[in-house]
Amino acid sequence: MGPDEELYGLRIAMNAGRKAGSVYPILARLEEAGWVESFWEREERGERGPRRRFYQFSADGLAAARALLIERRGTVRQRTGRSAPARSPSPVTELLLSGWVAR
Amino acid sequence: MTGGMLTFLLFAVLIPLAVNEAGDLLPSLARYLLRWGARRIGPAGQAERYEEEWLADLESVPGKLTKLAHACGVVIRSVPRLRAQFRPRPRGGPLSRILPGRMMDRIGKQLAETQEIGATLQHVAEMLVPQFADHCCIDLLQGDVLIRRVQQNAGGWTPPAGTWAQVGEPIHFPVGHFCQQAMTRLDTILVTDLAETDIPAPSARSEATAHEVGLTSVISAPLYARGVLLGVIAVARSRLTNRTQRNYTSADRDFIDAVGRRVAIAINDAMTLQGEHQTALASSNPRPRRLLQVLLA
Repeated sequence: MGPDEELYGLRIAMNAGRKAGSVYPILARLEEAGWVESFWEREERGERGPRRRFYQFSADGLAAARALLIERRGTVRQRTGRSAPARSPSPVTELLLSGWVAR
Repeated sequence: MTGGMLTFLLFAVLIPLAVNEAGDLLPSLARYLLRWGARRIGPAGQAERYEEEWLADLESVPGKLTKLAHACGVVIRSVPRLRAQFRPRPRGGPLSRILPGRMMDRIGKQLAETQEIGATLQHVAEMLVPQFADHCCIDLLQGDVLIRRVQQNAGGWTPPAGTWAQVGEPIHFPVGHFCQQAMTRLDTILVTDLAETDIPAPSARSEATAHEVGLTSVISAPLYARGVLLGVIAVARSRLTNRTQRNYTSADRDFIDAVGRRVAIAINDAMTLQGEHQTALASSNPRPRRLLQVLLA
């Protein structure tokens, strides 16, 4: 997934391995907290049907997500006693890093 | 027409047609469900937003039955949570609605404008003392510890240090104490005549002070809202003021019961508002972090 690909609720849910129904409220709360911003898709899709709602990190959310990832890597390192991360990031982490955090 | 032909018609033509028809209807049913669910969220703007967002996402779901299952999942999981999130919250209003009389309305209005818990409780105590009681204590739970948050006494009287718990001090009610009973039973307790009832006191000095001030009658009510015990409110009459009726009645108990319920809701709302304020401070609040952790898991 490239950094230019935009993320909508269903895709985030699929990549997170969560039910879409549980992801929408989480996104709403993150949005309310100012960590995530959302916007309607720009292309003229409205004529063909409903528009998608895309999500991306705000500046605060971006910093928090990065801190969380660093913290998580540190925790993994402490658990394993190794200097390198013991496991590769999950698909959603990859997604967040490439699709959201890299913005 | 023989029975065999009818069976053939049924299984080879009618049932497949019906299944095909139903299959075509499933996406429409899914869309209808999502529209209905979005409208249940509440605010019109949010309803429109989620309706369009969900319908757009539904188009990316393959299959017909899967679409319906997806819609059901969204309605079941998302709608109640989003509805709770976007629900307009009362800001201290409930108390003003239950307080009877002009004076209560006036004080209730003050309470309705109050969003800070300490100030809210103080208003309640000032409302009750001295008109309805000579003493009013409100204690709130902090974890497992009960902390005295308000103590209001008539005529500027204050209990000597080390007798009745002061504001900010922890307090423990022994088994059988009217406050302990109220919290255990989740019911309002009326002690009409203290002289005729053997009530254990938190301490000997506390009991001695109660005798000195001439405590006659008490009512205690649990502060219980939305399934959570928040604390206890107690009112008492004594010889601090000259009043004709020194003993509470069952009507007084019903009044304090109603006050306790509304105060509990007001506290609960104030706590929710404080929680939301904390949530707004996103960088220092763990809640958004927990939500992010869910997505990062």
